[in-house]
Amino acid sequence: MGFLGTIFMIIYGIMMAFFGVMIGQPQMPSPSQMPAGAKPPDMTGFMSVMGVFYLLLAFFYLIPSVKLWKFGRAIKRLCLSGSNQDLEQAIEQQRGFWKFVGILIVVVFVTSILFGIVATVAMMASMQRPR
Amino acid sequence: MDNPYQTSTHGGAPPPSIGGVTIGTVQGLAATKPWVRFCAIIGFILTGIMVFFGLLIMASGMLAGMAGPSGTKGAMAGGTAAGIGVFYILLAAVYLIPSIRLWKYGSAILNLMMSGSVTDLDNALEQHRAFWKFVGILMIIGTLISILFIVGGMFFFTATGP
Repeated sequence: MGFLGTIFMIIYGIMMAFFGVMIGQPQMPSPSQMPAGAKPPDMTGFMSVMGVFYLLLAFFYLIPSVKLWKFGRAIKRLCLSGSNQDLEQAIEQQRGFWKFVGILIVVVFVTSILFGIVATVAMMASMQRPR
Repeated sequence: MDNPYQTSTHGGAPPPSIGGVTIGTVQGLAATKPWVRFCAIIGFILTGIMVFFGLLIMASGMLAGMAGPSGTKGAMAGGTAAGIGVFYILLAAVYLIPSIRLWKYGSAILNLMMSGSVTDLDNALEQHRAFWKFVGILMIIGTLISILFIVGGMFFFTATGP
């Protein structure tokens, strides 16, 4: 499931990065939607950045899937041999998985908090700007 | 001086063990425990937030239903919000189970660290197995529901389309 999710994320990221350039091109809106003289928003850069962001996210989601896969292979080896060394290796693989998941959670939380602070500051700055 | 904590090797003397479980196994699980406990705590916090939002949506829906226009429309809006709130709380209950299983896995590792017995190792591995089984079943159900929603949505848009 992790690998499938990563593949879908990569496909979505590529679609956003490349097709988003076309979709994000400024289009001519109807006069009722835009005030006279105003330019339509150019979303090209935003879509490309979001596409690259999705590709990066897919890479980060791929790592725990690989670790989980290695854990599964270690369990298979343990089932075949029943040795203590294979048990230790299987446990080492699952330790690596849980450590990565924990670090990922910390990174996501810190990033979310930073984004929240930046968004709040940007909103406050735009509200205080004289018109 | 020999390191008593080094990983065991095949063919030589039996690996150092306490109570039947090798030190390498106990150390590996002991290093897992803080991360497992951390993930479980995050799960509990997220479940709590989900319950809070569910209650908030329910309360706001009921208030909107009472303060809004009387009759069918107001009752429907309130009922929809209450339904979404109940759905959130049910979802939180489902998400709570893997967090509890993870917490139990952490507790089982703690017991193993103290006793070093094979029984506690079995119990820890059993808790881990139960966690992954639940997550696997949850993933299958989630995928099936998503596919049903997509197919249902396509039928709905085809039926109501221009």
